[in-house]
Amino acid sequence: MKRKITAIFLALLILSNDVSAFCGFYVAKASTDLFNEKSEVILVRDGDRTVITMSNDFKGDVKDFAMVVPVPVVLREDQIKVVEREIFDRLDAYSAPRLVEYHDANPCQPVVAYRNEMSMKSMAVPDMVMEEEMDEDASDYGVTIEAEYTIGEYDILLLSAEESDGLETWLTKNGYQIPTKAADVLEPYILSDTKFFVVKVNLDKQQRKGFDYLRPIQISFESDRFMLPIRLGMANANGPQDLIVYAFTRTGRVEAVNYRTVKMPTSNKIPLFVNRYFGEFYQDLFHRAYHKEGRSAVFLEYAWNVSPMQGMKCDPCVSPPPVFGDFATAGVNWVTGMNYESQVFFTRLHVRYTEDRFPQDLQFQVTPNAEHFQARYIITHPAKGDLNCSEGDRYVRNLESRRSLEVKELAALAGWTNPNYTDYITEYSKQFKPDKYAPQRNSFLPSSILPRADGDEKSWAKWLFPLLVLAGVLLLRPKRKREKN
Amino acid sequence: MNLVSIITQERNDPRYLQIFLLGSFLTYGLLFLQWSARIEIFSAAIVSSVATQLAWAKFKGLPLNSIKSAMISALGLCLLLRVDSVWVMTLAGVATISSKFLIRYNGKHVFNPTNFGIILVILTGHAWISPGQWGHGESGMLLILLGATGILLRVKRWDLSLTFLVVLFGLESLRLVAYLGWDWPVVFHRFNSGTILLFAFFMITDPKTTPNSRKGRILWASMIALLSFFLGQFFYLYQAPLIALFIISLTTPLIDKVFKAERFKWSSKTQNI
Repeated sequence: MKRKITAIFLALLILSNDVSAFCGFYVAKASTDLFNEKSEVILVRDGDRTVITMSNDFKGDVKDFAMVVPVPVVLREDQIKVVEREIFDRLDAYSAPRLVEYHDANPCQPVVAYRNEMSMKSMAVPDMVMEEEMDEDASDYGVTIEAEYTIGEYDILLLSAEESDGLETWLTKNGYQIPTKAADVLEPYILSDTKFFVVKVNLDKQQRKGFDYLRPIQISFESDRFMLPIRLGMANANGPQDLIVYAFTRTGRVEAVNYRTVKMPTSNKIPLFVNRYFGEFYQDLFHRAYHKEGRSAVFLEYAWNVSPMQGMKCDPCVSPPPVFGDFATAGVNWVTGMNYESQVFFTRLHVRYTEDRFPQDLQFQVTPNAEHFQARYIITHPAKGDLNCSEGDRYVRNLESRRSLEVKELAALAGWTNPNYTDYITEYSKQFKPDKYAPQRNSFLPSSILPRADGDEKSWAKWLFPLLVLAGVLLLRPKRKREKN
Repeated sequence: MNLVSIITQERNDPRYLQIFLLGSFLTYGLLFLQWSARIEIFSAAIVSSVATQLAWAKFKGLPLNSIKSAMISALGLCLLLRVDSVWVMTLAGVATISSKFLIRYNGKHVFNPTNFGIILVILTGHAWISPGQWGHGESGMLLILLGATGILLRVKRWDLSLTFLVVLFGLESLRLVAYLGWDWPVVFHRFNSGTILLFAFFMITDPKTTPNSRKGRILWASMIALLSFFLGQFFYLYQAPLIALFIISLTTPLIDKVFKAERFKWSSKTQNI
């Protein structure tokens, strides 16, 4: 069942627009739309300069929309921008976990590869909801309006406060619906001299612009802290929330400092039929990985050098990589053209956070780690045509054992089991092995490459390990003999 | 000296236990925490450290049995330091060991070798540390605490770990909980981290670069805790403890002058490197 590279090269020639590399064809992606309660953020970090772009997937009546974001400094008007929503769609499409396909060559005759495609359904749910109209008695509550702007369709206030109760009362009085737990959460921010960036929709402007959706807001500032304040958002959340971070740096990957950053499982071979359910597959895979890592990890889904001078910006490309226009929109201001100074590294992180497992805000660091990574899953089409030759018989036997591994992998990754999967395993074998008493000769595969169907075994070993070390410590314990020098 | 007495002698050297424990931590990280297993980088750390140690030992005419110390430094680098190429790790190994021979005062090296190597290569921009790499799982913490108990009983430097952790915990609790009003889980989350425990139990307890007297050590560890609290809380440096140790190490000779006590030796037969 040797994967036949030549067939894929052939396909390259035919479909040169669609494929960019020989490690498989992209067939489906798991876009962020699959996750409910999610928010998306673009982070740009260069020295102390940070640009944060926040997407609003708010779906209610826009007059109900409001958002409070803690920021380290009072922002000037030119540090706030409204950008187009497309940037998020482009980055998501470019970096989403992907399903790629290979084609086995017919061992009895050469074949031509083909490509198929599918699209994903989507659903989404709003994030923060608050309300309108304000009066001017701010100082009575220890609240200072540091600045006030109208930018695009938004009215923006920058507040500083002396104490959380005052801020809470002021916000409530001015028609912002604050969740009940908010005061407790606001307190630490106020005491660390944080300012509050308060946004609501200017209905006039909004109608004049004629948008029926809210565009993302982008803020930029200088700060030695590289973090995202997730704790405030937890006040009005009732379950886990998904956050997708698209980060751009000059040097390399972004990783969390105060949580563990873990790679998603990748390059696993899974059964062919998963391409009909790839969205569901990735949801379940993520869910299992999330639990396996103790619900407290930050997941790496994509990491790639996207500099203008970089040759291969994805492998395979799910959608076009970010270009100059995208860098400019995101706030990557050091890219000046096709030159070696314009180094850009892109990281996509996926965090599912809850109040109990994420007691601190997310803190990040920029590392020099420029290793590429992608969450990629592989399906392999069996050979087509007549397989009646001696090579063909062997191919069919190997196909059966490969498919049995794929089914096990599917169980290990997504937890999917179904008795009918046996049909998938023996689909071809039945055709070519009519003798039902024929031996099941797949035992030559080393047992170590069989994936475990159950992640629990490993966590058990996790506890055994310290015990083994204890035994080692006792073994290396010295004789009771005091030394004098 | 007959073979049996050599074995007994060697067995009593706490450095074997330390090598075993650091090796176990590394294995644990690779098996259960998805650390990137790049054999060539780990080899670079070990080979460069040991080779540098041997070269210096030869140059200074010292016996060659100090390889154990070099191994400990190398494993420390493997556990803490993340690099983007083999050469950076090689540089770290050479710098780590050479600092013991080059930066000396009063017959004692000034910096904790691993600490020195890490700080130096981070400044090159090709290395980093991942404070979050241990995650917040319970079994990993158990492992470190267990190992810590073993080793501290051997080298009798538990006063350092205890002082450092108590002072830092006190300061962070005062700031985060009492002043800022965060909940206790925030502080626990900060301390339930393999990186900080490893630092407290295995890095600052190096007997060769810490003050000789207990009073001196308590003062010294308190200063490290205080400085890393300030660097971490007000300058948002996630490598705060490492930088604090680096800076406070400079005061060791002074502390040794004020609080006099006998210098530590690994065992009666080994020399002072």
